Amino acid sequence: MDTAATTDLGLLPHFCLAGYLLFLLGIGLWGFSKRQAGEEDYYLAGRGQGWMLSSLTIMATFFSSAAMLGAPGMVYKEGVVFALFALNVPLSGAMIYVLGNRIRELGRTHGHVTPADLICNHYGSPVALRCLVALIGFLYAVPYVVIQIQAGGIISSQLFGGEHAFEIGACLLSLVTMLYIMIGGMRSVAWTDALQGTLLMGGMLLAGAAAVAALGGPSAFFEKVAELPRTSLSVPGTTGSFTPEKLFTLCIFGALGSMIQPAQWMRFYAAKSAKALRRSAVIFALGLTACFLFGVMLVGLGGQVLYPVAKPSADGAFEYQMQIDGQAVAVSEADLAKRLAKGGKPLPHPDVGAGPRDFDQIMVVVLKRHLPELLGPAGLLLATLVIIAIMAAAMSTADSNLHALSAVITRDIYAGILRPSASEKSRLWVGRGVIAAATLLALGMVFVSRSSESFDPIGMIMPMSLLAIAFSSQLLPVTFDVLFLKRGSRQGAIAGIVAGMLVVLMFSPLLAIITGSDSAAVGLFARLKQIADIGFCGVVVNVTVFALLSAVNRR
Amino acid sequence: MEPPAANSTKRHRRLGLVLFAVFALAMVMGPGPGLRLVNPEPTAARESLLFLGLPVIYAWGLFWYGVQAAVVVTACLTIWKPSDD
Repeated sequence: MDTAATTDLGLLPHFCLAGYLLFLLGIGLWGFSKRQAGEEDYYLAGRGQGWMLSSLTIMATFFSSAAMLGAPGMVYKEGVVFALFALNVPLSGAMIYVLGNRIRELGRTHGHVTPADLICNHYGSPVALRCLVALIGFLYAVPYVVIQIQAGGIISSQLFGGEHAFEIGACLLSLVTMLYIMIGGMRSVAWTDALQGTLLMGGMLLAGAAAVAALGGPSAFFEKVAELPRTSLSVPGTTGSFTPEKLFTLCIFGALGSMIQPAQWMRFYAAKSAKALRRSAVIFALGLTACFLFGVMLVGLGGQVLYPVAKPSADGAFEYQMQIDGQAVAVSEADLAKRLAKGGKPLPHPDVGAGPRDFDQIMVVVLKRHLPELLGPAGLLLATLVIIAIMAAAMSTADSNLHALSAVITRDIYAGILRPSASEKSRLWVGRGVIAAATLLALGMVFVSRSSESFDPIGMIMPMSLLAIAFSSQLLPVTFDVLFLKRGSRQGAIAGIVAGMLVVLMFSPLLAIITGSDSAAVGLFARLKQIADIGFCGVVVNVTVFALLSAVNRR
Repeated sequence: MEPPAANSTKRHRRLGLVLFAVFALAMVMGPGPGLRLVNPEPTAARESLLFLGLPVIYAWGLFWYGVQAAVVVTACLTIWKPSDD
């Protein structure tokens, strides 16, 4: 099969994308026309979302470029082991009802808008805890927005090519998203999410079907998959990163952390009834997991066949391409672990990309090259639609996080601490300013990361998402305490969150920047990262400190 | 004799515990340490990497997804219902 052949999609993507972006702006204007006075309407759409809108907006917020580009990219890099990460989705679904319904009830009773409203109301901490919860919201939202903008750039460069396609795509995604949130608030965000959620569920399944069809149907697909290197078909994957223990902690904390991040938390407040959340939980747990397992994960696996990351050599063993000291080097299967331990990075097939972070491009490459080949003009249209669905995934997560960040900074910091006497009107304008500032900050980070070889805080999409989730996981102990146990103290909550966040920070690129990439501390945390999820490590320390201090305070 | 409402609450609590245990088992077995039960040894024959033509790891994941889905649907139809407003 000639995998190098590219398909020119012509002007179709330009027209489809322009139509789609204009439609989103139209929804923004519609949301503006339906607005009612007040913050509660801007941030929670009047707490009146039914089950259909709730389920689609919760799914669209959960679905990001990490799902559409990052997950197939990881399966393409690591093999089938990463497909099992999809089993975190049913747990997330269950949490929509188990945690979400209690959050909704308390929010409705006390008029809460942000996570900090509920947590600080329980512990009676107006400043310290509020700042910490807001900081967690910030640390979750900004990296997440950054990776969505980066995804917009990747899609644009794959679709349109050209010297500045990445920059134009990233700017366009940021600008349109920023505009419709600022205009219409939660109502616009939820309705655009509904459109984007539908589009991307269809897109995920279609992408899986395309990958299977490109290899000649289900039987031929799995026959060819069976010939992949042993590391691609077993645990712990190509780079040895996904031991069952690590995958387990990743699934637990990935699910819980992504369900208590500010944007989801606010969607629980916005739900009209328990019934809305109950139905959302089932649709999410069943439907979304199926989209992963039968959709995008198959793209990654099929990608390994279509664009091999390892070539069979004469003796039957496989040979990988790795980047070592900036050079592409062929490494035998036997030497793979040794080279990885010395900092070598696997490289994708040259038709997919030239650098170690280009694994994320497999989805767009498979769609763009193989759907039109299979279906002719109809395939061209479908490929365009799925690529727009990837854009939708990025935008739906970026909008929810920007909107939630605006609520967090405005309610918790500006009105909660800096200017408690601020009028509702001035708070809404500050909120809009936050959306603009956060968008520009995220866009700036994408460009800095792209232009610098030595400073790359973003890297691949999936690891960055997991770091953001690790930060939001630090709210888990206090959330469970507030909703179920009610035994913790304010001091314990504050100390626990600070300790947990410090642990997570140790795993971030910040440590390498401060101490140097070859320091002993960086080596120690890199080894710990191989064993368990970052969020899990933080939560263990967080819970320990929280429980001990709360017990001391009770005495 | 206990009133019917108390009986129903007790029954729901017991069912809730059973569903929690089954879901926890699915998490441990599916993407967790249970994977070691089916993960082929590095020296094992190539056939041991497959089950009914599917990669054995993938088939294992599909099975535990089925268990998780059954738990969520059962919870929705039984224990989550009474708290509806």
